[in-house]
Amino acid sequence: MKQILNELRQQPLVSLISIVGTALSIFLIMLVVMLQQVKVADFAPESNRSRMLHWKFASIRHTSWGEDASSNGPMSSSTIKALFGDLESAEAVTAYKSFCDVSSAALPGETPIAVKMKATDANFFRVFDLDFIAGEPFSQASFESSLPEIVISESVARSVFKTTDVVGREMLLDLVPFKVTGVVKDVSRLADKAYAEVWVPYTTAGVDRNNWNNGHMGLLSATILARHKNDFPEIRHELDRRLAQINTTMKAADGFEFISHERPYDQETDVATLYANLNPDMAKVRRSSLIVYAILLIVPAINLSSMTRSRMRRRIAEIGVRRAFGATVSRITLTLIYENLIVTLVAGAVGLLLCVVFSWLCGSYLFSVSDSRISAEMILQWSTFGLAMMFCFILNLLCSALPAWKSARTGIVESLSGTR
Amino acid sequence: MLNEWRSNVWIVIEFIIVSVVLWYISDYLFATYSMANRPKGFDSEHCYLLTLHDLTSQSPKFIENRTIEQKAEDLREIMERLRRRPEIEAVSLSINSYPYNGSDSEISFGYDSIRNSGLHRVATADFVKVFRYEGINGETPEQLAKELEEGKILLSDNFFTYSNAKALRVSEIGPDRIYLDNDTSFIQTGTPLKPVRYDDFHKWSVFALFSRETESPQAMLWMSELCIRVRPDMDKDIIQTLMKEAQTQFHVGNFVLNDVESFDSIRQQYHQGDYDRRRNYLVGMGFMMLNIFLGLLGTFWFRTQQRVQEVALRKVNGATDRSVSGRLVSEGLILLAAATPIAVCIDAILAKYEFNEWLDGYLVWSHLAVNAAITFVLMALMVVAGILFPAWRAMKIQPAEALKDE
Repeated sequence: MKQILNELRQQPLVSLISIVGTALSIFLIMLVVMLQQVKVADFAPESNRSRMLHWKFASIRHTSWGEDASSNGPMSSSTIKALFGDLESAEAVTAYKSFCDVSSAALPGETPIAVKMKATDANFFRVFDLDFIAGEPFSQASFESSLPEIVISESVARSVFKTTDVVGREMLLDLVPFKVTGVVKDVSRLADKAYAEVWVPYTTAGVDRNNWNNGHMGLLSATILARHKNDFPEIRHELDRRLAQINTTMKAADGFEFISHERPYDQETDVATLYANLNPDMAKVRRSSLIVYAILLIVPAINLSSMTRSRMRRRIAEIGVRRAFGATVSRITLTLIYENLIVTLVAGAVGLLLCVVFSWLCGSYLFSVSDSRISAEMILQWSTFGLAMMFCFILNLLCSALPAWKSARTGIVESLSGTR
Repeated sequence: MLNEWRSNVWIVIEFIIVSVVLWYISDYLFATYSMANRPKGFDSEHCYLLTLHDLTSQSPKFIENRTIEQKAEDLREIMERLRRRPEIEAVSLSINSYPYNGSDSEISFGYDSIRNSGLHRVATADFVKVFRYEGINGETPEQLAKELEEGKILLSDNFFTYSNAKALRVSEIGPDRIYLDNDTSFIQTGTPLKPVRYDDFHKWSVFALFSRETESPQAMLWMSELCIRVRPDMDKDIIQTLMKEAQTQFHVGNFVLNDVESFDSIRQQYHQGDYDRRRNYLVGMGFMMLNIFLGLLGTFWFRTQQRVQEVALRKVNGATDRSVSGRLVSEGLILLAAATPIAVCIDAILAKYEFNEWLDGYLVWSHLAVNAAITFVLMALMVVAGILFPAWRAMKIQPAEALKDE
């Protein structure tokens, strides 16, 4: 360790550039990692993303439309019931309106405010863990009897009632009196499936008024919560069987047929799939992120390797002495790589720290969301540290392996005479 | 310079990679900025989108058994109340039509044997006043609105020429020649419009606007977009002003005003993905440039250290400070010049295989040249900045001091 510090001190500028360069590249790579991570990491109220499977849109075709034509979008409540009702292999399934509506919320006689409303079923609160600060979700019974009950966020409670102690009170949502059953902590827009400002039973929101394609398609999406990630194949199998059954009945009745397009999707596939009418191409998505990572690693690695080389050239005499005393080339190479690794790790830690501080302070800018509710669990996952370590190792190998091996291989006489 | 060939090769490799990445980013930014600065054909400033809610039977305010005619009358009344306000200039109803709504709904027209399809927009006549569309000869939105009221269809002048350079412009086609695809009868078109773009970053600007039969009760209820234009001098707190009266003035029949959103915010949300991409690319560009700077700073710092004696000898033989530093800087620039042709070849290959951004085509030589030049200048700046500090150190070498060991 002392030796490393001494060596760094001998060439302050080159050392500084090495450290700054390493920290900078780890900083940027980790920013890219975090941009991806907030889309897939588990954090409240989507703490179980890793156990979730999504069926956001369905694809349907009709015998009269031709081979390639399909219609894609959310499903009707009857399709949801047929496909996901009492799914045995899953812990729970929730159905909710695909998009938030803008509703007006107010007390009678007061100026309304516009709020983002999500129409859901009662299971929604089992699948997504919204943090209740008062009260509880509306019940399955209320959902089934279309009772106007509502869960509201803390900020909506404050804007409408001026307090959060409002369970049991009434407010107007789109001029319909709703009873507040629960108040939850505000939800970040980064949890885009759970996000809304108020949640109501979809049986009160008239979702079936807007069905299409003979009532097979509508306004609803579904999310399945598996008991364990390993149950995904079983759930897929059960859903495939159900879909086949539905298709047989539907085709005979009115000529419609669902196309699965490999649904349901896990969280990673769901966020990467932009077009509902195509199969997801995860290989392509991974390839493009690999290219980005490769560029972000290779360019600084070339720089750093020339720094490393220059640092090592200074030590050529020392290497000569070591070899004269019997050290092997591989041993010296490993020592040099190891010494460099320590520098890389220290610089990498600085980079990661900078990255975390930056995303904490500038989260709303980085993730382009208007709220600033960036919690630690969104940006700090064990995988973050793991990935940062991995990138440090790769960067270190890229920038030190070749120079270290070359320096170690230099002939003893040449090293000691300083002719190289 | 030849003595340092090993590290020079690495620098050249780095230059090539960075140059290609910078070119890719520069090409993207060049394409998007030039597209954003081209005329859009509409003006959404001072415009707002109003959302009306249709009350459900659960509301105590719900009026039972409202007929379609009555509902349309309610909607007309709300529009009339908006129109009467001094701050509001125009009010329109439309479906899938306002700018930045993301609808790709298309319609095909033809003349003779030429056919093409374009964006299909359906709105009441005042829609052109809200978003200030213009005729190719500067015809005002008011004149265009009159034509729409007469049942004419407004086509952008480039409707047939956009994807077929040999076709005629709408202004060159005489009357009674344009027909709706799959229909034999000719349609009446009004003044050709200046091309109306799909959004800020797309070039697609083939556009058809219908106003026929939008006054019928069924059609009015079908159109869900209520847009307004506010007089620029009175565009202050309009959202709050309207929302204050949402449940009084703007509650007619079962319709009630739910939300007012500015088009600035609609545009912002619609283009958020593009803005994010632009930001990420700019950061990437900065990172690459910083890398070159740091890389050269480090490498040349080390080189000047190694070549102290050489520099000293040159100085003894009459080299000036300027020529010493000039020599180092030109070393960097020569390396850059060596890397650039290879990088440009890679750029051209990428453009040929359409990996870059589309702006009047993928591989447009003038664009390639402009972006390669921008890339070269940016990199040259970094090369000079990175080498200047080591060069300055080289200038300060005292020959006597450096050569004392010899």
